[in-house]
Amino acid sequence: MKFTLNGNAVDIDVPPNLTLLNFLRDTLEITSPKVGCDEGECGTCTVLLNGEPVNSCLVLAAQVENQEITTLEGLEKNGNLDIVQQTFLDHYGSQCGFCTPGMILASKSLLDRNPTPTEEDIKEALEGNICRCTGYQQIIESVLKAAELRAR
Amino acid sequence: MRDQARPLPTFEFVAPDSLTDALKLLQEGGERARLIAGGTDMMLQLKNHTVQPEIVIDLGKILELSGVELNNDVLHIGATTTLNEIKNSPEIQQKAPLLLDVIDKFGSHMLRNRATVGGNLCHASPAADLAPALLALDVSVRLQGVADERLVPLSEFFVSPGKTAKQPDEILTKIEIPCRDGRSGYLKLGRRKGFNVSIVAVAAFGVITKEKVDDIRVALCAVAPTPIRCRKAEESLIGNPLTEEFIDNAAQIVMQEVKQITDDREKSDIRRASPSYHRASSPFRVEMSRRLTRKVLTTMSIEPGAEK
Repeated sequence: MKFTLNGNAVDIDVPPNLTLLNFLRDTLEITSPKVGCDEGECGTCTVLLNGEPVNSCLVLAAQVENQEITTLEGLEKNGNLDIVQQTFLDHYGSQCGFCTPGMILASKSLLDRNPTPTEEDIKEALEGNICRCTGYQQIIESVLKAAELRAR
Repeated sequence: MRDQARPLPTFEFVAPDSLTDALKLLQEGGERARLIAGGTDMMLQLKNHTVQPEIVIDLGKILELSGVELNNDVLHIGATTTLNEIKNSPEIQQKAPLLLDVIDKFGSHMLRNRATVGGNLCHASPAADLAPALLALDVSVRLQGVADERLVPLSEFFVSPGKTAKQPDEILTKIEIPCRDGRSGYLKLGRRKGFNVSIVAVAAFGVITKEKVDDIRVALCAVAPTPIRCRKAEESLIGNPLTEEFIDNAAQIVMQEVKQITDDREKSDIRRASPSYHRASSPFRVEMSRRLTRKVLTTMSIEPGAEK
C-alpha cells in the first residue's frame, strides 16, 4: 500500500485487519497518536487525514491508500516547532501530555481552515479531544495565541 | 507487534473503485461480507466482535457514491458523503437547512469528518441522529442490487435495531430529499455535546401559513426500536392553525404514542425493553418527547422574520 506520511511517500504491506492507530504505533513506530478509549470518544489518537482531523482508532490502515497522513511528528520543520506546538509550550497548553498531540493537530487544522477562530470555534473544534488533566483554559489560550502569531 | 487492546477479527479487505465491482463482491461474499464507509459505527462493531465478517468491502474509493447534487428540486446526497461535506454544501445550506442544525449536534468535528449519511441510516440505531430530520423531510433511499434498483421511503426503511429493508446484496447508494419551502425545527436531548447519544430527539418540517398547517411531519428517535414518525400527531395538526392549543394537543399525542411503545416493550421483555436505560429511564424519555415536541412546534409557529 502506498500513502504519504508526514510528507514522505511510504510503500509498505499492511494487514487488512489493523487500525491506522495500531499500524502507525506498532508497525511504523510513530507514537504521538495514543491509545485512549479506542472508540472515537477521547481524541488522543487524532491524526490528520488529508489535512482534516480523524480518530485513527476508527480508521482501517488499509483505508488510507493514496491518502495523506500527518501526525505530530510531521509538524516540526527544519528543527523548528510549528507555531501551535510553540504556543502550547509557552502557554502551558500541555500538562501530562497524553492528549497533547491530538489537541495540537486538531488545533492546527482548525487554524488552517479558520485563521481567526473565536473561543467558541475552538471549543467546537476540540470537542472530540478530551484532556484528562482538565487544562482546557490553557489549551484555548494556546490556540488563540497561535492564531495571533500566525496572522503576523 | 504488541498486543492490541481489542484485536479486530480476521478478514480480507477490498476497496473497489466502482459500484458495479462492489455489488459483485457483495454478491459473491454473501453473508460473509460487510460494507464499511466512514467506519465510525462499523469499527466499533468489529472491535466488539458483534460482526465477524470474512470480507470487508470499503466503499471509500467509489466516487459516484459521494457528493451532493440538486436536480429538479430534489437533493441527491451520495451514501458516503460525510456529515461535514453535507454541512459545507451550498445546496444543503440553501435547500435543507434543517440538516445543518442536526449535524451541528452530531458527535465531534472528527467524527463528522468520517461519519457518512449512508452509514448512519444503515446502522439503524434507534438513536440514529440523522433519522428524525430525514424522516421529517420525507426522504427516500435508493437501494442498488446487482440487477435492480429501488427507491424506498425512509419511513419504511427501518425495521428493528440494526435491521433495515436493505437486502444483504444491496447497497444504499444515495438519499433523495424532495425540496419544499417550509419551516423546520430540531431539538436533541443528550448529556454533552461532542459525544452525545440522543436521549430523545425531535425533528419536524411543515408547510405552514398564518391560517393553518398545510402539511407537517414530526419524527423522533431514541424512543422506540427504530426512529419513528408520529402520524397521529401530524394528522391532528394538518388543517388547523399552529396555535398553543393545537401544539399542546399534538405534543400529548406524541407522548401517548411513545408511551404505548415503551409500555408494550416493557410488558414483552424487561431486559430488552430499554437497552439504553442507563442513559435515561423510559418515563423520562416519554415526558421529554412531549416537551421537546412542544418546543419544536412552538419555534415553527413563529413566522420567519417576525419578532420573537
